[in-house]
Amino acid sequence: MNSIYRVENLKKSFSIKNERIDVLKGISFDIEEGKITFILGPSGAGKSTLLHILGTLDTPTDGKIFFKNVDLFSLNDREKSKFRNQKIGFIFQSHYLLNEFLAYENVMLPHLFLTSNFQQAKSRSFEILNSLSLKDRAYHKPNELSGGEQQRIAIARALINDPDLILADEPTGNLDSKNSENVMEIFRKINLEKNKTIIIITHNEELIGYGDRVIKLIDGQIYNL
Amino acid sequence: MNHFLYISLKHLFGARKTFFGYIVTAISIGGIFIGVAALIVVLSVMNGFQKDVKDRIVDVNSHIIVLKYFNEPIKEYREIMDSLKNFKDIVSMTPFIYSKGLIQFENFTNGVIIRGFSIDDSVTYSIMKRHLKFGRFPENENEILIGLDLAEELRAHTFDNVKIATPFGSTETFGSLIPKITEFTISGIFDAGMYQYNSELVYIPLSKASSIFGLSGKVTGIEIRIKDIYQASKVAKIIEKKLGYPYRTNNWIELNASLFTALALEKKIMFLLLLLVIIVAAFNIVTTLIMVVMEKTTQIGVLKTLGLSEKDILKVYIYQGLIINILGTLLGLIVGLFLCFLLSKYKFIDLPGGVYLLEKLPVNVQWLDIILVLILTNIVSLISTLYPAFKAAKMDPVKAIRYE
Repeated sequence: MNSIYRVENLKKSFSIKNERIDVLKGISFDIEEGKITFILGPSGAGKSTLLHILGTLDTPTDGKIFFKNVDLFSLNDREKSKFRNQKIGFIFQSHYLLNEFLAYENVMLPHLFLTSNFQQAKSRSFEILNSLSLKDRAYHKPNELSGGEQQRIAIARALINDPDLILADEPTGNLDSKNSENVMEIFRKINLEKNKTIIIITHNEELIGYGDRVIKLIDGQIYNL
Repeated sequence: MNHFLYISLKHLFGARKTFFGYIVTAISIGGIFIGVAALIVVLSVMNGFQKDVKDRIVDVNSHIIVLKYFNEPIKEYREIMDSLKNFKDIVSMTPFIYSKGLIQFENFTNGVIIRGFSIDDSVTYSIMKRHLKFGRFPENENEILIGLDLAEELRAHTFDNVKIATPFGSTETFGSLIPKITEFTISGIFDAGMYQYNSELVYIPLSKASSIFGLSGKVTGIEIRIKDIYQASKVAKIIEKKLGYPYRTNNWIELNASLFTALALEKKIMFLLLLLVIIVAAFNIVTTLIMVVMEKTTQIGVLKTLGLSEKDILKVYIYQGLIINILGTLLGLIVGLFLCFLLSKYKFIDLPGGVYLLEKLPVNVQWLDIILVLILTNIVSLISTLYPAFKAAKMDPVKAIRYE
């Protein structure tokens, strides 16, 4: 087995009004490269916190995470930013497209941050939009698109830098069943065709049929593998 | 285009949550614009005032005067002029008499400063000719020139006869002094461009001045004009060294030092006061950027997930402050310079001459001042962007995303 992530004794606590809340209680697991892994659990189980930590958006209270044998939390802010830009594509429940930018501009942003080349970023953006059948939506503003289209634009943005990994937090949470199915098909396609590792957080057990593996997180602990 | 600048422009002028956001941005730009325009206009007017006053002082007066210690009349002025005639810095020399008297025309009288001048001196002739408003240059020793404001006070016109009373050379009768009264004809009325000169000065031919002041051919001193007026102190020192005791020199810089120091101080104070406008405008930038940061909390979080570092976000917000500043500064620069151009071309603001020395608002744009204004405005604006930019940079992306 070739692990992309190795998580060791990961703990995360928050203090709210002097009360300590342990969200992740020392979990350890590996994520296999090139697989679709679901992290399943009820609301408040610590799924999003885990995803934020895996994506270096948040820091653990204790424990270590290795991405391809690199200790992620030994990196400085610039290195972590570079890691997020090049190695990860984020997809959230809310699409988080930027309203000031047109659809293709939203998609090209990560590539622009990587290359500082507008022309290259634009043509790469159109390439990706085309592959997701969204070319005719390129010059639309996010609020002119349907929920499904918005989420597909967000997927295009996550894919533009050809990352090793997609981290998706309830990606179908705001979508109807047809659009949910579409999104999951896209995930399956990019997993199969491009061998991308995909980690999907969800509380919807109906989706796990699309995955290779399920990690169940309940009350901050891995309950069942 | 730099991608930080691209995001900054989108954040600042792209879709905003409320119309109020645009208003606040416009106010920020407007604040800098007004501050810069006001600074440019006021500093240029102060420069113009300084320059005009200086020009008029050195135009009507000479650049250096040679006097005796304690101002005793000089008899040997021709010899002194001869000894200085080979000085390459000197353009012209002319003897003069300087004293005070009383002028009377019909029922009107006024205290005046009397300047005896050589009517044969070509330099004095050309200067006075330039300032002559009515009449002509004196042709004999009974003709005089008076200033425009003095003529107005006396209600006197050209070729009116006036009387000048001087205390010198008068006869003592029963132990009291009787002033000597001499009658003159006003041959011309001049406008030197400065109220002080126009209301006080009377030009009398040298020989006549010598006789009414009882100087018997002596003069008060020698007026010297030099090539480079800013070298007056240096040249004066050389002349003083050459002539030796009992002669001394004065120059226009020394004689008007208090006036120019006051003008320079006034300019500095105006600069500092108007800099406050820029500082207030900088607070507007802080407000605008804090509003943008608050409005764009989620976007900042998203940008971090897409790969922007804290330093990058800091840059994005500093760029936004700089965009506001550059737009405000450019507008201020254009409008300020345009106002200066209008003021100098059309001279549409009149000044009460009695109060301000000059009768029109003068303008002199000095590029060094403009550069200083631009540099200071940019420094103040840059400082004002730091707090909101730092807040944005340090924003926790998880919180930013979670609170949407």
